[in-house]
Amino acid sequence: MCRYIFCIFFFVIATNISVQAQRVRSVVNGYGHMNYSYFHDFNKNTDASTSYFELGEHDLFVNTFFNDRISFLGEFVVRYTKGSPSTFSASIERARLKFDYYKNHSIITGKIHTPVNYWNDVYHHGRVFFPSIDRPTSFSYLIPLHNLGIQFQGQNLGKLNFGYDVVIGNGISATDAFDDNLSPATTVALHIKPKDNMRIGASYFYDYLTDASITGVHSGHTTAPSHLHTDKYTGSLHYHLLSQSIAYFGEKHEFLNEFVYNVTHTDTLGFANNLSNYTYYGYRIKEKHIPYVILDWISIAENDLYTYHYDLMRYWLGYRHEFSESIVVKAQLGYSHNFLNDSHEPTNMLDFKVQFAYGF
Amino acid sequence: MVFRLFVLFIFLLVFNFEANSQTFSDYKIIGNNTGITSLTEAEVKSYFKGKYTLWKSGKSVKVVLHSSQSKHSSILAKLIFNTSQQGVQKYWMSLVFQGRANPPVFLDSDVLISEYVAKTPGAIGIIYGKSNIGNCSLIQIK
Repeated sequence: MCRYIFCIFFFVIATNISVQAQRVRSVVNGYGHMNYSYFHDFNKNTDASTSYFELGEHDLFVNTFFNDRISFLGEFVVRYTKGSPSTFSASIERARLKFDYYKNHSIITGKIHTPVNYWNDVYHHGRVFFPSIDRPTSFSYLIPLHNLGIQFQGQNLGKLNFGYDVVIGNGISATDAFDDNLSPATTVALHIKPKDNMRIGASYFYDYLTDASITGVHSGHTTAPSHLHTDKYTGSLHYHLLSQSIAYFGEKHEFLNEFVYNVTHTDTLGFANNLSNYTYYGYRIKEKHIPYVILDWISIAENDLYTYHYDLMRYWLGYRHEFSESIVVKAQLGYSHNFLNDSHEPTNMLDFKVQFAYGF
Repeated sequence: MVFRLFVLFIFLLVFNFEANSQTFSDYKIIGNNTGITSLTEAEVKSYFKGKYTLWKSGKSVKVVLHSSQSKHSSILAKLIFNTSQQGVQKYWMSLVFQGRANPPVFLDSDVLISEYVAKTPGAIGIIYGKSNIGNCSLIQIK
């Protein structure tokens, strides 16, 4: 009798699990890109030019819906990594659970892209969505790319399509499993979409670093690569970041401005004020042809002890051809130079790049 | 003869214009367990653009659109999104990648759309006015 009841019990549980499994829906997408780059360094007398092909990031994107209100989003990237045994490494770029609790309000937990500006919130690792080949320069130095924690999100509220994102999580010196202090990083981001294809937003990000020399996986960047000083500041540091984005991607005109004002504070050298501005303008000729221009600059103060003194200006002239929504080719001619050479290697570079980006 | 050709030309021109200048009154909005019975044109556009997450019924909004294989896809892309079918695909790919909306379902015909909506609580779709809505609920356009 007991065995009979156990069999019924097991059957009921198994059936229930099977029904539950059928209700879970997953959608899997892939994204990737390949580049060709040519560089000419005007500061070099010999071997001034280099050119190469590059296999870019390849991205597995997963959306799973457990029920009407709870979903999972994952983004897993494989990229070239110098020094690794296979020359490639894999990383979890996003892994988040989302709970839609009321109308357009949600709670998200997991690893996310910090919603400090338009680019980081919208494009992530999908090069097929990028309007140009490269990210703004500030992404290599100032923007806290990732965050691991809890996010409160609201979107498309009211006539102006108001949206908010409040994130509390591990800071820029943290890893995906550890933070070295009690103080979490905090992000407050607000935006409106007053008309279709337009988004205007601003955000504030704060983090406290116990040791400013430690760069965790969430910063996505390190000290400026051409920095000549080998001894990094190891004291504590307060990191404030104000960002503002204006984005419009209309039928004809495309415009994006990403402005960043960063203040770092140390007991040693006080407040350091850093600025960055990225402006993109593109014009759509017919449906698939988009020539564009970019002006991108960054200025890091002399007393900054996190990114260190740096001034860089970049100009780009480019063309994007959209074969379809899922395959795009871009070509860019650019010139970059830095103004000051006291703490960085001088930059005086001409470059030409071609990128094939795809998604499916 | 010239006159006849002229009349034929005008007829074809007008017919072609008619065929491409559809309005919402030429279509039906269908849903399943959405908790609503009518929407304005602006609200219809907002739902198909993924601006809403949940219905009043508590079900998640599941958008069903015409794929590029459907004969209505270009007209509806212009009517709802003011863009091409490629523009619609790109719009949704980007929105889903941002993690700000659930992916829509693209289907090839009115029949497939009404069948899918009928068996999916929370789904909303749009079909041609003369097509059968099956077991779906009709959402009136105010």
